[in-house]
Amino acid sequence: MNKNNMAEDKNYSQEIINLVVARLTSLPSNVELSVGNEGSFSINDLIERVKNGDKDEIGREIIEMQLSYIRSFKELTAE
Amino acid sequence: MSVLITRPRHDEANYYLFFWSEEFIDEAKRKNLKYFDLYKDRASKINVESYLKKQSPDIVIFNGHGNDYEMAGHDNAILITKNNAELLKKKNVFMRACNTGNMLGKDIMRLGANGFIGYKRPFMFPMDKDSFSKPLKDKFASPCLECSNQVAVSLIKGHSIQEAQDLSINTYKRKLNEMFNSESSANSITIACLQWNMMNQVCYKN
Repeated sequence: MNKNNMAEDKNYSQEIINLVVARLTSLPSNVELSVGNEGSFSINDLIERVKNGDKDEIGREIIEMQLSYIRSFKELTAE
Repeated sequence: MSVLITRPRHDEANYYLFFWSEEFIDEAKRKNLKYFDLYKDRASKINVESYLKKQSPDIVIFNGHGNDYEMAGHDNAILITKNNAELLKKKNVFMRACNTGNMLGKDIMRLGANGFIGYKRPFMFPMDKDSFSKPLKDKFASPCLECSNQVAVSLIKGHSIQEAQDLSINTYKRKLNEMFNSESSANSITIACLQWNMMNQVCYKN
């Protein structure tokens, strides 16, 4: 299903991409992620998508999800 | 009070939502509520429209895929757009689908719904490949699905749309605290999904 307001086209720094890849790499291999309409992805699939984040909608959503978590971390741990 | 539920089951995500929806179907049974369970290929536009017109449920819970403008059912057949959203007039609506909280949710409210809860971005949850045949026992998926289930459970228990949203958000926060304090190696993705879904779960009310 298209017509989504997906993560806007953005250029993510290599630092951010590396950070998100590192976080994904630490996950157990039996984890898959359901990303709504787009389907389910293995960790290796997600890593490849994130590496192409500038051109890949799924990659961008995963990056945005991880960045959102990191930004909110301070607030979450403060509560 | 009566409830209409759609439960397609044509891919992995919907397979999980199919089984996890049993929690609030059981709640409807416990409360002796009339419920209409449109499961698998019964989650079609013709059925949804028919039940909305003839049965006039008070609560409508959609599971499935979505986008900014459409809510889908079995095999991603479109069920609801702004063109038939007036069928949801005076109802409390929960759309457990991606992105319907953007435009479609607002159209649904504009056309007279009592309240709407949905998601502004993709609804995400982790899964354990080794638990796929037992989705209710999947420890990676459980936290996210319990939190979104809380919306449906709360509506069925008679809470207002805002109360259902608040109870669900409180469940997210409780789960986040629990996950921070436990040591599973998959926690970081579950925490990220919980925080993402919580942040993107929107509530509109009149």
